[in-house]
Amino acid sequence: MKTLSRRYSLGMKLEELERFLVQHEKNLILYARQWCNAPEDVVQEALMELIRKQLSPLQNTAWVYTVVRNKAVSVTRHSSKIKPMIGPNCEPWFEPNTGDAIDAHAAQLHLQGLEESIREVLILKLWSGLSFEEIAPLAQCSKSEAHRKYQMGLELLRKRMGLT
Amino acid sequence: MNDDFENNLSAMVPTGKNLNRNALFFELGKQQKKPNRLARAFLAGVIAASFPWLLLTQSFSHKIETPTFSSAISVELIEPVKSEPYSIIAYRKVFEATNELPSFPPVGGVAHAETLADLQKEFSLYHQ
Repeated sequence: MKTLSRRYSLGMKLEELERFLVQHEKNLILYARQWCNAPEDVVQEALMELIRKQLSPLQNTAWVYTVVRNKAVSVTRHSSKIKPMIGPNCEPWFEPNTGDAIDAHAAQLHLQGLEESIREVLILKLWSGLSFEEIAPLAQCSKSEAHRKYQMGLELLRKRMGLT
Repeated sequence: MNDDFENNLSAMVPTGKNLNRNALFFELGKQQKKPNRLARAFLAGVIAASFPWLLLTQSFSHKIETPTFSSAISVELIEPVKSEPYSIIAYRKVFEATNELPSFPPVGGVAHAETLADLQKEFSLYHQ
């Protein structure tokens, strides 16, 4: 009954969906970009699925990320595109610098150089703003393990970028 | 130290083309036109609660028409509580406060009813 009542709504509100998109659209695309070359398509499909299931996006944020992850991994397995997902010639992951303290291009390269499970936790925490509780099932580890990976990722990035 | 670094990192804006919002909103509009599973159950409950006279009528008819031999279809129709008629608003209040469909006497054959027409159709099957 609890699961069903979470799902219950007499129609997802348009404003709710808009609020979700403002908050998560680009972050979901960044998350999917780790695994596939068509992240926008993957996120679009995941959101269509969410709407068809009449789930509340704000109450099912982790669910959306899970679907995006699964679809992104699946697309890559069946994709024939040659464009690299990772490396200096791949699509930029971040907007060009506008006087920020960190070089976005360098940050992207070092982020890509991290172990996948560490990078995933960093992206989910830093840009998507998910809690470690939400991150744990996505990264398939415990909450404390997710926290440890996050700290380790930050430390590695900081060192590799020469920001001691 | 790490805080500044974290803030600077999280301030970086991810790239990406905008999603096709029109398609999303169109799908949302389509879905809003049809009630979901719980809404259907809710609607069936509301109908049952709002038309006890129908259940009563059918209950009495059933008692008269059902044959007594054992192979006959068994339909349990239970009389709603007359002293406490639910209004749609009251029903919804109970639903929202408890997150559960207010208990209502189970009525065999009405489980799949979604509209009043369905309800009537269900009962008509027992009177052919």
